[in-house]
Amino acid sequence: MLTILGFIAIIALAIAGAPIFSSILAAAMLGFYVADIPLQIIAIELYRIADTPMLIALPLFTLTGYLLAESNTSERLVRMSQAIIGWAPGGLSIIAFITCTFFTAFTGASGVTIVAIGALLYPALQQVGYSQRFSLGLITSSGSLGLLLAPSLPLILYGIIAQQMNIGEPFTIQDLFIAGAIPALLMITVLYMYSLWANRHQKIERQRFNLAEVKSAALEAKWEIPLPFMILGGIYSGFFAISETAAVATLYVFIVEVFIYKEIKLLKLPDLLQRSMTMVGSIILILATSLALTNVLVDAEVPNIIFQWLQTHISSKIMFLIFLNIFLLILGAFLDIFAAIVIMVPLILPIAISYGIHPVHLGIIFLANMQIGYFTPPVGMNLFIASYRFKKPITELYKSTIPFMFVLLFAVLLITYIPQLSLMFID
Amino acid sequence: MKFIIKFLHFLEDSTLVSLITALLLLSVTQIILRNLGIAGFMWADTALRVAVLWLAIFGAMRASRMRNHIAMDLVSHYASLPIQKFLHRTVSLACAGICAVAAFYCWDFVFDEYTMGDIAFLNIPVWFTESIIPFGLSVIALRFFIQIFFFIPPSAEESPTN
Repeated sequence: MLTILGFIAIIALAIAGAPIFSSILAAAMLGFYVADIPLQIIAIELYRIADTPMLIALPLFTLTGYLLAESNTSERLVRMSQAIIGWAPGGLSIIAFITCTFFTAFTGASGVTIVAIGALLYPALQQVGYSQRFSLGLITSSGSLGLLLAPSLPLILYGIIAQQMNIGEPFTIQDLFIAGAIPALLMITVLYMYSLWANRHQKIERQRFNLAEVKSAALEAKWEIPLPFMILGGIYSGFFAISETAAVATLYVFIVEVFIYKEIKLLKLPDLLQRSMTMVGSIILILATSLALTNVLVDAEVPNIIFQWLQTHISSKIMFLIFLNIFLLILGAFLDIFAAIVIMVPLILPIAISYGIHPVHLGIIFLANMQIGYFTPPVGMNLFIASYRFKKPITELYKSTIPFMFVLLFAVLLITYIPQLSLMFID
Repeated sequence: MKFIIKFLHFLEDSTLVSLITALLLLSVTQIILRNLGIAGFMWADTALRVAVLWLAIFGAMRASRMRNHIAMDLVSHYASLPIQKFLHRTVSLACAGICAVAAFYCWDFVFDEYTMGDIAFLNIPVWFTESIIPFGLSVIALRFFIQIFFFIPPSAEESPTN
């Protein structure tokens, strides 16, 4: 009874705004205490962070993202895509989807996409004839596109945790990135189709194709153009390990942004390093405490108990997937994506595997749902960032993003119920 | 007193910057050496993994200094200021307690390891590489304790959006 009260107090603490790591740490300690295990084990559990080689990629890719976000990469990216595909029907909308996808994949989904890309495209979208409400919805809901593509940090984190658990079919992080490609493309396609349909009566200006502008834009971005090839090539070809790709990419971006473009002043660098590593610290601390809690839960056979309970109520895989979708959507609206992955994957993965779901497919489902959670009312993070950035009341953002939410929900349902979309290129 | 605190913050920030710089340079060196057909440093892989742990703990310490840990952000959006302040104190008190208990047991563990005398890499003993855990938890506990008395509004300083 006292144990149950303890756990309720811990959950209440988390809702009251306590750092997630402290709630998880408290839960783990309480669990060990109840199981009569000496609490010194906490040190051993937290030290497991130093036994996870792939984790090196996390600080490095985070740094790459911060460097790109603080320089004018977003402007060059938008100009370049506009020059290449600005002539297509719907012009700017497809550019928004593609640039947001790229930028989020490379910078992690921290809301920076809305600020960096959105701030450029929001006025531009209205200028070429899109309504204000549509532009706002488009920018806000595109802010989390790209979570499924290399080198997205949440996907790497999912891979690290799933591999640590060592259950189900073995897979590599490369497999995850390959699996994410078609679902990401599907999301962009349905969004683009919707955008064309929704504006069929609207007169939308397009940019005429101009080879000279393409050349000039490419020349301006010439140092950044190799980066996607380097990272995507390195990861998808399997030639480099993820951590090696991360190291090379970070050094490259560092040299380009600091010494060639000179958009990040040397004096500002320590501050940037500190901010990015503070974020890494808070993520890894949650990961570390969560690994401890997972052990407590596995020892107490909690995943088994949940599974047995579920099986008496939910017999088919399809029913389970419906249940999972609803659960993840709600989760994504309330919990930070990194915290959600770290806390929930160890619980959900064994259950999903018992229902016959491939771990790679689960990763894609998980992140695709989380992506919608970013702009699900009432507390989706990107809603607040957009509201703050574009000076619009939060209720207006709820209204403007809802159609996009249903469109993406449709894509997520396809991704969930057609595993081949994710698994067709996986052995 | 102010000077000492400023100096300690400076020390903490510089360690964080040095750790990420070392991490980056060492991992790139390893890749270069490997591609030149040279085996690379034997100790580097362990050192890199330990560096990630240290980096994470120092980052987390800094996050608690600025009240910047990942948390459920319901209160700041939906509660009035007096309620926010009350919850802030309660939460700070609870977190200080949680981290202090964890730090106590982790120190105990590190002292045990000290008597064992195992080596992590080069001549650096395992107890030393582990000691960052109770050290970090102690600092975080102290900071939460101080924050019981000072209300820091939640900031978005750490995200690149600012």
